[in-house]
Amino acid sequence: MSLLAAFAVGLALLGNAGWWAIAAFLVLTTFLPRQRRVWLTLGSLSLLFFHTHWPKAAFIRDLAKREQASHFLLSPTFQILGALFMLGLLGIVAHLAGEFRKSFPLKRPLLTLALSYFLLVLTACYAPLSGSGRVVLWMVVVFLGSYFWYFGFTLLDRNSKDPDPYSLQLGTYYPVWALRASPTPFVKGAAYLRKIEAKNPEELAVTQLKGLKLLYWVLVLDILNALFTRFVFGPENASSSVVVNNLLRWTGWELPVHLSVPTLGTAMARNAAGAPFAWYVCWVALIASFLKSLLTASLFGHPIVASCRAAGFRALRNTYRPLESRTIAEFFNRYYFYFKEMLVEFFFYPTYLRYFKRHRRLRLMVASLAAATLGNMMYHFMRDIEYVVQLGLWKAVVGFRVYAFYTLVLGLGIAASQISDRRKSPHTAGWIRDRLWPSLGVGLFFCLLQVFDSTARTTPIRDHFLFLANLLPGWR
Amino acid sequence: MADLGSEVRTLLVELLRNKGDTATFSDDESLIFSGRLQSIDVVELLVQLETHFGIDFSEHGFDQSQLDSVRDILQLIAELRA
Repeated sequence: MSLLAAFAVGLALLGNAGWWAIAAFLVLTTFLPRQRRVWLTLGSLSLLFFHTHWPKAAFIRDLAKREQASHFLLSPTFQILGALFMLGLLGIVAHLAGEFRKSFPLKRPLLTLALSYFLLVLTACYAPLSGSGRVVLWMVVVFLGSYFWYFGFTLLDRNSKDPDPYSLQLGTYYPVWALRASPTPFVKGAAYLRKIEAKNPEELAVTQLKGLKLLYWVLVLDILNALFTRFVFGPENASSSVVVNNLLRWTGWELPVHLSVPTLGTAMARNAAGAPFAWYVCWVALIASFLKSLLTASLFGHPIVASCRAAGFRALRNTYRPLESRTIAEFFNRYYFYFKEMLVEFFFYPTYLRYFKRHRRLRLMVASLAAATLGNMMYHFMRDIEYVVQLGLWKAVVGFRVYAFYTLVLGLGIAASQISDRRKSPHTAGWIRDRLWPSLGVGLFFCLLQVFDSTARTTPIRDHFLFLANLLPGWR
Repeated sequence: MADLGSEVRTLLVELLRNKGDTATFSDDESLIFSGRLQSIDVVELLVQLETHFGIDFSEHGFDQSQLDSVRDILQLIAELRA
Protein backbone atom coordinates (compact mmCIF):
# COMPACT_ATOMS: atom_id res chain seq x y z
CA MET A 1 0.00 0.00 0.00
CA SER A 2 2.89 2.35 0.80
CA LEU A 3 4.34 1.64 -2.64
CA LEU A 4 1.04 2.64 -4.27
CA ALA A 5 0.83 5.75 -2.09
CA ALA A 6 4.37 6.72 -3.15
CA PHE A 7 3.32 6.13 -6.74
CA ALA A 8 0.24 8.37 -6.41
CA VAL A 9 2.37 11.11 -4.83
CA GLY A 10 4.84 10.83 -7.72
CA LEU A 11 2.07 11.21 -10.29
CA ALA A 12 0.64 14.21 -8.44
CA LEU A 13 4.10 15.85 -8.28
CA LEU A 14 4.35 15.43 -12.03
CA GLY A 15 1.13 17.41 -12.40
CA ASN A 16 -0.85 14.42 -13.70
CA ALA A 17 -4.47 15.56 -13.26
CA GLY A 18 -5.75 11.98 -13.36
CA TRP A 19 -3.42 10.69 -10.63
CA TRP A 20 -6.33 9.69 -8.40
CA ALA A 21 -7.98 7.65 -11.19
CA ILE A 22 -4.74 5.79 -11.90
CA ALA A 23 -4.15 5.29 -8.15
CA ALA A 24 -7.65 3.81 -7.69
CA PHE A 25 -7.06 1.51 -10.64
CA LEU A 26 -3.71 0.40 -9.22
CA VAL A 27 -5.30 -0.47 -5.87
CA LEU A 28 -7.73 -2.78 -7.68
CA THR A 29 -5.10 -4.43 -9.88
CA THR A 30 -2.78 -4.94 -6.88
CA PHE A 31 -5.23 -6.37 -4.40
CA LEU A 32 -7.45 -8.25 -6.86
CA PRO A 33 -4.81 -9.31 -9.41
CA ARG A 34 -6.76 -12.25 -10.85
CA GLN A 35 -9.25 -9.82 -12.33
CA ARG A 36 -6.50 -7.46 -13.56
CA ARG A 37 -7.63 -7.53 -17.20
CA VAL A 38 -11.26 -7.03 -16.16
CA TRP A 39 -10.26 -3.93 -14.18
CA LEU A 40 -8.45 -2.75 -17.27
CA THR A 41 -11.61 -3.00 -19.36
CA LEU A 42 -13.73 -1.36 -16.67
CA GLY A 43 -11.14 1.40 -16.28
CA SER A 44 -11.06 2.06 -20.00
CA LEU A 45 -14.87 2.21 -20.16
CA SER A 46 -14.99 4.43 -17.06
CA LEU A 47 -12.74 6.94 -18.79
CA LEU A 48 -15.14 6.89 -21.72
CA PHE A 49 -18.05 7.56 -19.36
CA PHE A 50 -16.45 10.15 -17.10
CA HIS A 51 -13.49 11.63 -18.95
CA THR A 52 -13.72 11.92 -22.74
CA HIS A 53 -17.01 10.77 -24.23
CA TRP A 54 -15.98 11.28 -27.82
CA PRO A 55 -12.49 11.90 -29.26
CA LYS A 56 -11.60 15.41 -30.46
CA ALA A 57 -14.39 17.04 -28.45
CA ALA A 58 -13.36 20.64 -29.32
CA PHE A 59 -13.32 19.92 -33.04
CA ILE A 60 -16.75 18.26 -32.93
CA ARG A 61 -18.12 21.19 -30.88
CA ASP A 62 -16.84 23.76 -33.41
CA LEU A 63 -18.17 21.78 -36.35
CA ALA A 64 -21.59 21.38 -34.72
CA LYS A 65 -21.72 25.11 -34.06
CA ARG A 66 -20.76 25.96 -37.65
CA GLU A 67 -23.26 23.46 -39.07
CA GLN A 68 -25.95 24.62 -36.62
CA ALA A 69 -26.49 20.99 -35.70
CA SER A 70 -28.71 19.71 -32.92
CA HIS A 71 -27.29 20.31 -29.43
CA PHE A 72 -28.21 16.72 -28.61
CA LEU A 73 -25.14 15.59 -30.59
CA LEU A 74 -22.91 17.24 -27.98
CA SER A 75 -24.71 15.78 -24.99
CA PRO A 76 -22.88 13.14 -22.90
CA THR A 77 -25.85 10.77 -23.32
CA PHE A 78 -25.63 10.78 -27.12
CA GLN A 79 -21.86 10.60 -27.17
CA ILE A 80 -21.57 7.78 -24.61
CA LEU A 81 -24.30 5.73 -26.30
CA GLY A 82 -22.76 6.51 -29.68
CA ALA A 83 -19.30 5.45 -28.50
CA LEU A 84 -20.72 2.19 -27.09
CA PHE A 85 -22.54 1.58 -30.38
CA MET A 86 -19.32 2.15 -32.35
CA LEU A 87 -17.34 -0.15 -30.05
CA GLY A 88 -20.07 -2.77 -30.47
CA LEU A 89 -19.79 -2.40 -34.24
CA LEU A 90 -16.03 -2.89 -34.06
CA GLY A 91 -16.65 -5.97 -31.91
CA ILE A 92 -18.83 -7.44 -34.69
CA VAL A 93 -16.11 -6.68 -37.25
CA ALA A 94 -13.51 -8.36 -34.99
CA HIS A 95 -15.76 -11.43 -34.65
CA LEU A 96 -16.35 -11.64 -38.42
CA ALA A 97 -12.62 -11.16 -39.08
CA GLY A 98 -11.96 -14.17 -36.84
CA GLU A 99 -14.72 -16.33 -38.36
CA PHE A 100 -14.08 -15.60 -42.03
CA ARG A 101 -10.33 -15.10 -41.95
CA LYS A 102 -9.71 -17.01 -45.17
CA SER A 103 -12.16 -15.12 -47.35
CA PHE A 104 -11.96 -11.70 -48.97
CA PRO A 105 -12.21 -8.94 -47.69
CA LEU A 106 -11.61 -10.21 -44.14
CA LYS A 107 -8.43 -12.02 -45.13
CA ARG A 108 -6.75 -8.61 -45.04
CA PRO A 109 -8.93 -6.86 -42.42
CA LEU A 110 -6.57 -3.95 -41.75
CA LEU A 111 -6.36 -3.06 -45.42
CA THR A 112 -10.13 -3.32 -45.68
CA LEU A 113 -10.53 -1.17 -42.60
CA ALA A 114 -8.11 1.49 -43.94
CA LEU A 115 -9.88 1.60 -47.31
CA SER A 116 -13.26 1.86 -45.57
CA TYR A 117 -11.94 4.71 -43.45
CA PHE A 118 -10.69 6.72 -46.41
CA LEU A 119 -13.91 6.02 -48.33
CA LEU A 120 -15.77 7.42 -45.36
CA VAL A 121 -13.53 10.53 -45.37
CA LEU A 122 -14.31 11.05 -49.08
CA THR A 123 -18.01 10.65 -48.37
CA ALA A 124 -17.86 13.12 -45.47
CA CYS A 125 -16.05 15.61 -47.73
CA TYR A 126 -18.18 15.38 -50.84
CA ALA A 127 -21.62 13.97 -49.90
CA PRO A 128 -24.34 16.63 -50.14
CA LEU A 129 -24.91 16.64 -46.40
CA SER A 130 -25.30 19.50 -43.97
CA GLY A 131 -26.33 20.11 -40.35
CA SER A 132 -26.59 17.19 -37.97
CA GLY A 133 -26.09 14.56 -40.70
CA ARG A 134 -22.71 16.00 -41.65
CA VAL A 135 -21.63 16.29 -38.02
CA VAL A 136 -22.59 12.67 -37.28
CA LEU A 137 -20.62 11.47 -40.30
CA TRP A 138 -17.53 13.38 -39.16
CA MET A 139 -18.01 12.05 -35.64
CA VAL A 140 -17.85 8.52 -37.06
CA VAL A 141 -14.69 9.43 -39.04
CA VAL A 142 -13.05 10.87 -35.94
CA PHE A 143 -13.99 7.86 -33.82
CA LEU A 144 -12.69 5.31 -36.33
CA GLY A 145 -9.48 7.29 -36.78
CA SER A 146 -8.91 7.50 -33.04
CA TYR A 147 -9.50 3.80 -32.42
CA PHE A 148 -7.97 2.55 -35.67
CA TRP A 149 -4.57 1.45 -34.34
CA TYR A 150 -5.94 0.04 -31.10
CA PHE A 151 -8.46 -2.00 -33.05
CA GLY A 152 -5.68 -3.08 -35.40
CA PHE A 153 -4.02 -4.93 -32.55
CA THR A 154 -7.31 -6.72 -31.83
CA LEU A 155 -7.35 -7.89 -35.44
CA LEU A 156 -3.73 -9.04 -35.13
CA ASP A 157 -4.62 -11.00 -32.02
CA ARG A 158 -6.83 -13.28 -34.12
CA ASN A 159 -3.54 -14.91 -35.24
CA SER A 160 -2.93 -16.03 -31.66
CA LYS A 161 -3.84 -19.52 -30.51
CA ASP A 162 -5.96 -18.22 -27.63
CA PRO A 163 -6.96 -14.65 -28.42
CA ASP A 164 -8.64 -12.64 -25.70
CA PRO A 165 -12.40 -12.13 -25.95
CA TYR A 166 -13.47 -8.73 -27.25
CA SER A 167 -14.56 -7.68 -23.75
CA LEU A 168 -10.91 -7.88 -22.62
CA GLN A 169 -9.62 -6.33 -25.84
CA LEU A 170 -11.64 -3.23 -24.88
CA GLY A 171 -9.31 -2.69 -21.94
CA THR A 172 -6.42 -2.12 -24.34
CA TYR A 173 -8.26 0.74 -26.10
CA TYR A 174 -7.02 3.90 -24.41
CA PRO A 175 -6.00 2.03 -21.25
CA VAL A 176 -6.17 3.75 -17.89
CA TRP A 177 -2.40 4.26 -17.59
CA ALA A 178 -2.37 6.41 -20.77
CA LEU A 179 -5.42 8.48 -19.75
CA ARG A 180 -6.55 8.78 -23.39
CA ALA A 181 -3.37 10.69 -24.21
CA SER A 182 -2.50 9.30 -27.63
CA PRO A 183 -3.93 7.29 -30.54
CA THR A 184 -0.68 5.26 -30.39
CA PRO A 185 -1.47 2.06 -28.49
CA PHE A 186 0.43 2.18 -25.19
CA VAL A 187 1.41 -0.60 -24.65
CA LYS A 188 0.52 -2.45 -27.87
CA GLY A 189 -2.34 -4.93 -27.77
CA ALA A 190 -3.80 -7.85 -25.86
CA ALA A 191 -1.21 -10.38 -27.10
CA TYR A 192 1.59 -8.27 -25.66
CA LEU A 193 -0.24 -7.72 -22.37
CA ARG A 194 -0.80 -11.46 -21.91
CA LYS A 195 2.91 -12.00 -22.44
CA ILE A 196 4.14 -9.35 -20.01
CA GLU A 197 1.60 -9.76 -17.22
CA ALA A 198 3.06 -10.63 -13.80
CA LYS A 199 2.19 -14.25 -13.09
CA ASN A 200 2.75 -14.34 -9.31
CA PRO A 201 3.14 -11.99 -6.31
CA GLU A 202 6.97 -11.97 -6.62
CA GLU A 203 6.84 -10.88 -10.27
CA LEU A 204 4.21 -8.30 -9.38
CA ALA A 205 6.38 -6.84 -6.61
CA VAL A 206 9.44 -6.61 -8.86
CA THR A 207 7.41 -5.07 -11.71
CA GLN A 208 5.79 -2.52 -9.41
CA LEU A 209 9.14 -1.53 -7.93
CA LYS A 210 10.49 -1.00 -11.44
CA GLY A 211 7.44 1.15 -12.15
CA LEU A 212 8.01 3.24 -9.03
CA LYS A 213 11.69 3.65 -9.83
CA LEU A 214 10.87 4.79 -13.37
CA LEU A 215 8.28 7.26 -12.11
CA TYR A 216 10.74 8.91 -9.73
CA TRP A 217 13.34 9.00 -12.49
CA VAL A 218 10.74 10.96 -14.51
CA LEU A 219 10.46 13.37 -11.62
CA VAL A 220 14.21 14.00 -11.82
CA LEU A 221 13.95 14.42 -15.61
CA ASP A 222 11.01 16.79 -15.16
CA ILE A 223 13.09 19.03 -12.91
CA LEU A 224 16.10 18.82 -15.23
CA ASN A 225 13.91 19.64 -18.23
CA ALA A 226 12.41 22.68 -16.49
CA LEU A 227 15.85 23.97 -15.46
CA PHE A 228 17.41 23.18 -18.87
CA THR A 229 14.68 24.97 -20.85
CA ARG A 230 14.69 27.89 -18.37
CA PHE A 231 18.45 28.28 -18.72
CA VAL A 232 18.59 27.80 -22.50
CA PHE A 233 15.38 29.42 -23.78
CA GLY A 234 14.57 31.79 -20.90
CA PRO A 235 11.61 31.77 -18.44
CA GLU A 236 9.00 32.65 -21.10
CA ASN A 237 9.78 29.52 -23.18
CA ALA A 238 10.61 27.20 -20.28
CA SER A 239 8.82 23.88 -19.83
CA SER A 240 6.34 23.70 -17.00
CA SER A 241 7.10 21.60 -13.94
CA VAL A 242 4.96 21.45 -10.80
CA VAL A 243 7.96 21.00 -8.52
CA VAL A 244 10.16 23.69 -10.08
CA ASN A 245 7.30 26.17 -10.58
CA ASN A 246 6.20 25.88 -6.96
CA LEU A 247 9.78 26.06 -5.70
CA LEU A 248 10.43 29.25 -7.65
CA ARG A 249 7.13 30.75 -6.55
CA TRP A 250 7.67 29.98 -2.85
CA THR A 251 11.28 31.11 -2.74
CA GLY A 252 10.93 34.01 -5.19
CA TRP A 253 14.20 32.81 -6.71
CA GLU A 254 14.94 32.85 -10.43
CA LEU A 255 17.89 31.57 -12.46
CA PRO A 256 20.34 34.47 -12.48
CA VAL A 257 21.30 33.96 -16.12
CA HIS A 258 19.75 32.41 -19.17
CA LEU A 259 20.95 32.13 -22.74
CA SER A 260 17.73 33.28 -24.47
CA VAL A 261 18.30 30.87 -27.33
CA PRO A 262 15.39 31.13 -29.78
CA THR A 263 13.18 28.07 -30.05
CA LEU A 264 13.31 26.21 -33.35
CA GLY A 265 9.85 27.58 -34.19
CA THR A 266 10.97 31.17 -33.58
CA ALA A 267 14.19 30.70 -35.57
CA MET A 268 12.27 29.24 -38.50
CA ALA A 269 9.62 31.97 -38.38
CA ARG A 270 12.32 34.66 -38.41
CA ASN A 271 13.97 32.93 -41.31
CA ALA A 272 10.70 32.77 -43.26
CA ALA A 273 10.06 36.48 -42.55
CA GLY A 274 13.40 37.37 -44.16
CA ALA A 275 15.16 38.36 -40.93
CA PRO A 276 17.11 35.22 -40.04
CA PHE A 277 19.36 34.71 -37.06
CA ALA A 278 23.07 34.11 -37.69
CA TRP A 279 23.90 30.53 -38.77
CA TYR A 280 25.47 29.64 -35.45
CA VAL A 281 22.39 30.84 -33.53
CA CYS A 282 20.26 28.60 -35.78
CA TRP A 283 22.53 25.66 -34.99
CA VAL A 284 22.24 26.30 -31.24
CA ALA A 285 18.43 26.57 -31.59
CA LEU A 286 18.36 23.31 -33.55
CA ILE A 287 20.51 21.38 -31.08
CA ALA A 288 18.68 22.78 -28.04
CA SER A 289 15.30 21.87 -29.57
CA PHE A 290 16.57 18.39 -30.36
CA LEU A 291 17.70 17.82 -26.77
CA LYS A 292 14.41 19.20 -25.51
CA SER A 293 12.47 16.84 -27.79
CA LEU A 294 14.37 13.88 -26.30
CA LEU A 295 13.47 14.98 -22.79
CA THR A 296 9.87 15.63 -23.81
CA ALA A 297 9.55 12.14 -25.31
CA SER A 298 10.82 10.61 -22.05
CA LEU A 299 8.53 12.79 -19.95
CA PHE A 300 5.54 11.73 -22.03
CA GLY A 301 6.23 8.00 -22.24
CA HIS A 302 7.84 7.16 -18.90
CA PRO A 303 4.82 7.93 -16.64
CA ILE A 304 2.59 5.79 -18.90
CA VAL A 305 5.01 2.86 -18.82
CA ALA A 306 5.58 3.35 -15.08
CA SER A 307 1.82 3.19 -14.42
CA CYS A 308 1.53 0.14 -16.66
CA ARG A 309 4.28 -1.55 -14.63
CA ALA A 310 2.61 -0.57 -11.37
CA ALA A 311 -0.51 -2.33 -12.67
CA GLY A 312 1.54 -5.52 -13.07
CA PHE A 313 2.67 -5.49 -16.70
CA ARG A 314 6.41 -5.64 -17.45
CA ALA A 315 6.32 -3.13 -20.30
CA LEU A 316 9.51 -1.91 -21.96
CA ARG A 317 10.27 1.80 -21.84
CA ASN A 318 8.99 3.94 -24.70
CA THR A 319 12.19 5.99 -24.82
CA TYR A 320 15.47 4.37 -23.84
CA ARG A 321 18.83 6.15 -24.18
CA PRO A 322 18.32 7.31 -27.77
CA LEU A 323 21.67 9.13 -27.86
CA GLU A 324 23.45 5.78 -27.53
CA SER A 325 22.04 4.65 -30.88
CA ARG A 326 24.61 3.69 -33.48
CA THR A 327 22.20 3.46 -36.42
CA ILE A 328 19.19 5.44 -37.63
CA ALA A 329 16.96 2.39 -37.22
CA GLU A 330 18.18 1.93 -33.64
CA PHE A 331 17.43 5.57 -32.79
CA PHE A 332 13.89 5.25 -34.16
CA ASN A 333 13.48 2.16 -32.01
CA ARG A 334 14.86 3.80 -28.87
CA TYR A 335 13.17 7.18 -29.29
CA TYR A 336 9.49 6.20 -29.61
CA PHE A 337 9.30 2.43 -29.16
CA TYR A 338 5.53 1.90 -29.19
CA PHE A 339 4.96 4.06 -32.26
CA LYS A 340 7.72 2.14 -34.05
CA GLU A 341 6.25 -1.18 -32.90
CA MET A 342 2.86 -0.17 -34.29
CA LEU A 343 4.39 0.69 -37.68
CA VAL A 344 6.44 -2.51 -37.70
CA GLU A 345 3.46 -4.74 -36.90
CA PHE A 346 1.03 -3.09 -39.32
CA PHE A 347 3.28 -2.11 -42.22
CA PHE A 348 6.81 -3.49 -42.03
CA TYR A 349 6.14 -7.20 -41.43
CA PRO A 350 3.20 -7.59 -43.85
CA THR A 351 5.13 -5.84 -46.64
CA TYR A 352 8.35 -7.69 -45.93
CA LEU A 353 6.65 -11.06 -45.88
CA ARG A 354 4.61 -10.55 -49.05
CA TYR A 355 6.71 -8.67 -51.59
CA PHE A 356 10.07 -9.04 -53.36
CA LYS A 357 10.95 -12.27 -51.61
CA ARG A 358 13.88 -12.95 -53.94
CA HIS A 359 15.45 -9.49 -53.54
CA ARG A 360 16.59 -9.11 -49.95
CA ARG A 361 17.78 -5.52 -50.06
CA LEU A 362 14.84 -4.30 -52.11
CA ARG A 363 12.55 -6.19 -49.75
CA LEU A 364 14.05 -4.40 -46.76
CA MET A 365 13.91 -1.02 -48.50
CA VAL A 366 10.26 -1.35 -49.52
CA ALA A 367 9.19 -2.64 -46.09
CA SER A 368 11.03 0.24 -44.35
CA LEU A 369 9.36 2.79 -46.62
CA ALA A 370 5.97 1.14 -46.07
CA ALA A 371 6.40 1.57 -42.31
CA ALA A 372 8.38 4.75 -41.70
CA THR A 373 6.97 6.66 -44.68
CA LEU A 374 3.52 5.37 -45.66
CA GLY A 375 2.45 4.19 -42.21
CA ASN A 376 3.88 7.27 -40.51
CA MET A 377 2.04 9.59 -42.93
CA MET A 378 -1.19 7.66 -42.59
CA TYR A 379 -1.04 7.81 -38.80
CA HIS A 380 -0.49 11.57 -38.71
CA PHE A 381 -3.04 12.28 -41.44
CA MET A 382 -5.66 10.37 -39.48
CA ARG A 383 -4.58 11.93 -36.19
CA ASP A 384 -5.00 15.45 -37.58
CA ILE A 385 -8.11 14.78 -39.64
CA GLU A 386 -9.61 18.15 -38.62
CA TYR A 387 -7.37 19.83 -41.23
CA VAL A 388 -9.56 18.20 -43.89
CA VAL A 389 -12.61 20.06 -42.57
CA GLN A 390 -10.72 23.31 -42.00
CA LEU A 391 -8.86 23.44 -45.33
CA GLY A 392 -10.72 21.03 -47.59
CA LEU A 393 -9.39 17.62 -48.64
CA TRP A 394 -7.12 18.82 -51.47
CA LYS A 395 -5.36 21.53 -49.45
CA ALA A 396 -5.02 19.22 -46.45
CA VAL A 397 -3.33 16.59 -48.64
CA VAL A 398 -1.09 19.03 -50.55
CA GLY A 399 -0.18 20.90 -47.36
CA PHE A 400 1.06 17.62 -45.93
CA ARG A 401 4.11 17.65 -48.20
CA VAL A 402 6.51 18.93 -45.51
CA TYR A 403 5.77 15.96 -43.26
CA ALA A 404 5.68 13.65 -46.31
CA PHE A 405 9.23 14.75 -47.12
CA TYR A 406 10.22 14.14 -43.49
CA THR A 407 8.84 10.59 -43.57
CA LEU A 408 10.48 9.88 -46.94
CA VAL A 409 13.95 10.86 -45.68
CA LEU A 410 13.31 8.95 -42.45
CA GLY A 411 12.22 5.84 -44.36
CA LEU A 412 15.24 5.98 -46.68
CA GLY A 413 17.56 6.56 -43.70
CA ILE A 414 16.13 3.61 -41.78
CA ALA A 415 16.31 1.35 -44.84
CA ALA A 416 19.90 2.34 -45.57
CA SER A 417 20.94 1.86 -41.96
CA GLN A 418 19.30 -1.57 -41.79
CA ILE A 419 20.91 -2.73 -45.02
CA SER A 420 24.36 -1.53 -44.00
CA ASP A 421 23.94 -2.84 -40.44
CA ARG A 422 23.45 -6.38 -41.76
CA ARG A 423 26.78 -6.28 -43.56
CA LYS A 424 28.76 -5.17 -40.50
CA SER A 425 30.51 -7.51 -38.15
CA PRO A 426 29.81 -6.52 -34.54
CA HIS A 427 32.14 -4.55 -32.28
CA THR A 428 35.52 -4.54 -33.94
CA ALA A 429 37.15 -1.13 -33.94
CA GLY A 430 37.16 0.33 -30.43
CA TRP A 431 34.88 2.75 -28.59
CA ILE A 432 35.46 5.90 -30.64
CA ARG A 433 34.92 4.29 -34.04
CA ASP A 434 32.30 1.80 -32.89
CA ARG A 435 30.21 3.99 -30.62
CA LEU A 436 31.07 7.69 -30.55
CA TRP A 437 31.21 8.54 -34.26
CA PRO A 438 28.17 6.49 -35.25
CA SER A 439 26.16 7.98 -32.35
CA LEU A 440 27.15 11.53 -33.31
CA GLY A 441 26.27 10.84 -36.94
CA VAL A 442 22.84 9.49 -36.00
CA GLY A 443 22.25 12.44 -33.66
CA LEU A 444 23.15 14.88 -36.45
CA PHE A 445 20.80 13.13 -38.88
CA PHE A 446 17.81 13.42 -36.54
CA CYS A 447 18.82 16.91 -35.46
CA LEU A 448 18.69 18.12 -39.07
CA LEU A 449 15.62 16.07 -39.91
CA GLN A 450 13.56 17.83 -37.25
CA VAL A 451 13.57 20.92 -39.52
CA PHE A 452 10.91 19.03 -41.52
CA ASP A 453 9.12 17.45 -38.57
CA SER A 454 6.00 19.54 -38.97
CA THR A 455 2.44 18.36 -39.54
CA ALA A 456 1.11 21.93 -39.96
CA ARG A 457 -0.39 22.40 -43.42
CA THR A 458 0.21 26.07 -44.13
CA THR A 459 4.00 26.51 -44.09
CA PRO A 460 5.59 26.19 -47.56
CA ILE A 461 8.29 23.52 -47.81
CA ARG A 462 10.56 26.21 -49.29
CA ASP A 463 10.79 27.84 -45.83
CA HIS A 464 12.09 24.61 -44.35
CA PHE A 465 14.75 24.22 -47.04
CA LEU A 466 15.76 27.87 -46.62
CA PHE A 467 16.25 27.32 -42.89
CA LEU A 468 18.38 24.28 -43.65
CA ALA A 469 20.47 26.34 -46.06
CA ASN A 470 20.84 29.08 -43.45
CA LEU A 471 22.66 26.59 -41.23
CA LEU A 472 25.58 26.79 -43.65
CA PRO A 473 28.06 29.56 -42.75
CA GLY A 474 28.16 32.27 -45.41
CA TRP A 475 24.86 31.25 -47.05
CA ARG A 476 23.53 34.81 -46.81
CA MET B 1 10.64 -32.18 -30.99
CA ALA B 2 14.07 -32.22 -29.32
CA ASP B 3 15.83 -31.91 -32.72
CA LEU B 4 13.47 -29.18 -33.79
CA GLY B 5 14.14 -27.46 -30.50
CA SER B 6 17.89 -27.55 -30.95
CA GLU B 7 17.53 -26.28 -34.55
CA VAL B 8 15.49 -23.32 -33.36
CA ARG B 9 17.92 -22.70 -30.54
CA THR B 10 20.86 -22.73 -32.96
CA LEU B 11 19.10 -20.13 -35.13
CA LEU B 12 18.53 -17.88 -32.14
CA VAL B 13 22.05 -18.30 -30.77
CA GLU B 14 23.45 -17.35 -34.19
CA LEU B 15 21.15 -14.35 -34.45
CA LEU B 16 22.13 -13.08 -30.99
CA ARG B 17 25.83 -13.77 -31.55
CA ASN B 18 25.74 -11.61 -34.71
CA LYS B 19 24.59 -8.77 -32.48
CA GLY B 20 27.39 -9.39 -30.01
CA ASP B 21 25.00 -10.96 -27.47
CA THR B 22 26.54 -14.18 -26.16
CA ALA B 23 24.49 -14.51 -22.96
CA THR B 24 22.65 -17.80 -22.50
CA PHE B 25 18.87 -18.15 -22.44
CA SER B 26 16.34 -20.73 -21.34
CA ASP B 27 13.53 -22.13 -23.51
CA ASP B 28 10.98 -19.89 -21.80
CA GLU B 29 13.05 -16.75 -21.72
CA SER B 30 11.67 -13.72 -23.53
CA LEU B 31 13.94 -12.53 -26.32
CA ILE B 32 11.82 -9.95 -28.16
CA PHE B 33 9.84 -8.33 -25.38
CA SER B 34 12.93 -8.24 -23.19
CA GLY B 35 14.61 -6.15 -25.90
CA ARG B 36 17.36 -8.63 -26.81
CA LEU B 37 15.98 -9.04 -30.32
CA GLN B 38 14.81 -5.99 -32.35
CA SER B 39 12.27 -5.84 -35.19
CA ILE B 40 14.97 -6.32 -37.81
CA ASP B 41 16.22 -9.42 -35.98
CA VAL B 42 12.68 -10.76 -35.95
CA VAL B 43 12.62 -10.31 -39.71
CA GLU B 44 15.84 -12.30 -39.98
CA LEU B 45 14.32 -14.96 -37.74
CA LEU B 46 11.19 -15.13 -39.92
CA VAL B 47 13.29 -15.61 -43.03
CA GLN B 48 15.26 -18.39 -41.34
CA LEU B 49 12.07 -20.11 -40.16
CA GLU B 50 10.57 -19.85 -43.65
CA THR B 51 13.72 -21.32 -45.18
CA HIS B 52 14.32 -24.07 -42.61
CA PHE B 53 10.78 -25.18 -41.90
CA GLY B 54 8.92 -24.26 -45.09
CA ILE B 55 6.47 -21.93 -43.34
CA ASP B 56 4.86 -19.17 -45.40
CA PHE B 57 4.12 -16.38 -42.92
CA SER B 58 2.47 -14.23 -45.61
CA GLU B 59 -0.29 -16.85 -45.69
CA HIS B 60 -0.64 -17.35 -41.94
CA GLY B 61 0.19 -13.98 -40.48
CA PHE B 62 1.87 -13.79 -37.11
CA ASP B 63 2.32 -11.81 -33.96
CA GLN B 64 5.65 -11.06 -32.27
CA SER B 65 4.45 -12.79 -29.11
CA GLN B 66 4.48 -16.06 -31.08
CA LEU B 67 8.24 -15.76 -31.61
CA ASP B 68 9.29 -14.45 -28.22
CA SER B 69 10.98 -17.59 -26.87
CA VAL B 70 12.18 -21.00 -28.03
CA ARG B 71 9.00 -22.55 -26.64
CA ASP B 72 6.77 -19.98 -28.39
CA ILE B 73 8.48 -20.67 -31.71
CA LEU B 74 8.15 -24.42 -31.33
CA GLN B 75 4.48 -24.02 -30.50
CA LEU B 76 3.98 -21.83 -33.57
CA ILE B 77 5.71 -24.32 -35.85
CA ALA B 78 3.58 -27.13 -34.45
CA GLU B 79 0.39 -25.09 -34.98
CA LEU B 80 1.26 -24.15 -38.54
CA ARG B 81 2.26 -27.67 -39.46
CA ALA B 82 -0.91 -29.20 -37.98
